Amino acid sequence: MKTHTRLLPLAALFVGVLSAQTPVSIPIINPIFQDDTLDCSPGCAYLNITGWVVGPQTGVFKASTTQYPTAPASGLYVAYLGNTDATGSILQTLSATVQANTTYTLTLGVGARADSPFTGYLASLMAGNVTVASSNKATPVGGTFVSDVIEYNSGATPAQLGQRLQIFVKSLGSGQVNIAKVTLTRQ
Amino acid sequence: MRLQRLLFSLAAFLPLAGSAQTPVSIPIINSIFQDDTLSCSPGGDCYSLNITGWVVGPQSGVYKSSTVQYPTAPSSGLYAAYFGGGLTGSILQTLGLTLQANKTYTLTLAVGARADLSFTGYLASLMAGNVPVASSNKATPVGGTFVNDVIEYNSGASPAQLGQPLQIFVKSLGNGQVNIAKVTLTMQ
Repeated sequence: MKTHTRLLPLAALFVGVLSAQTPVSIPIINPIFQDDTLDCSPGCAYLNITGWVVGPQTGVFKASTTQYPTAPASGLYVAYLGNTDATGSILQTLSATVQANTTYTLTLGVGARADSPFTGYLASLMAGNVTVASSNKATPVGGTFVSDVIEYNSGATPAQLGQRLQIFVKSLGSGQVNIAKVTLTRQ
Repeated sequence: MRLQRLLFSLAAFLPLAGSAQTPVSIPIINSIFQDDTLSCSPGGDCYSLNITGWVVGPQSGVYKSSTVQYPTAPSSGLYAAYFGGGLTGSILQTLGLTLQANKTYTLTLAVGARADLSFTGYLASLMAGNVPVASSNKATPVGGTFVNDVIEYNSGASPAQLGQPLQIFVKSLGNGQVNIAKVTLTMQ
């Protein structure tokens, strides 16, 4: 009986440590931008994106090897944000809310087309319409994607406690940004 | 001793009274419609469908007007939301805060009528959980001007939409165009 009593707290601690170290994925609608189907040949685009609130000149793009040399023959689906006419943006409000003492990791596949200028972007994790972490540190060369990883540790008493999380990306300047994948985890 | 008690009670009451009277601004994404940048020259043809942070209806987007539309516009152009023109249009944003009891919410919109297009009315609503709780269409700007529409909503002790997310919704009526240059929402 004594052994049982000693083992129980140890087991609880072990489970606690395990759960604290395992990132939990937070659901995002259409995170790889393949929910929409374009029937045109690769190299084509269409305004608006399923599941995302979009800004001007923003939509779904089915890229070809002209834009990304490693694209499959069937095309590579991504979000496109902005062009020479206007900046663009994507925004999604998630069902998960900010919790205390939690680390959130937002990862984006940020792409620069080989046939169009890339003039920067700003990616933010938000909660209740307030930015809690931002980054613009990915600098892909034309025809490639680079991951941008944004971490946010909410601390003991976050100002946005209980507010719904949001993912926001906007293009800067007159170039275009492509986003191939968005993930958000908490741990 | 009595005087001390009286002062203590007053001191406890004063901060409450003070905080109840100070409006708290509720965050709105892209509230002055300047998050998007249009590269065209200001004027009637300088617009783009969709607006950062807002769910839009048909014929709704960002507009960079010139002095032809608004005589007081700066030479670099005046950014505003446009909706409607032939078709009706709309903008909607769901906010991070939820409806609380015993609060007064004040929604203020700068409503504009272009000098070069007809203005045929609008309807602006504060909503909670997809239900309008207060609406207005009382601003009547003459062509080339903006007029504020101020919508107040007192939630009372037990509002039906308690705990539901607040929303801002504006739609155009008729076949004219409405411009919105600024939206604010406060709570007190």
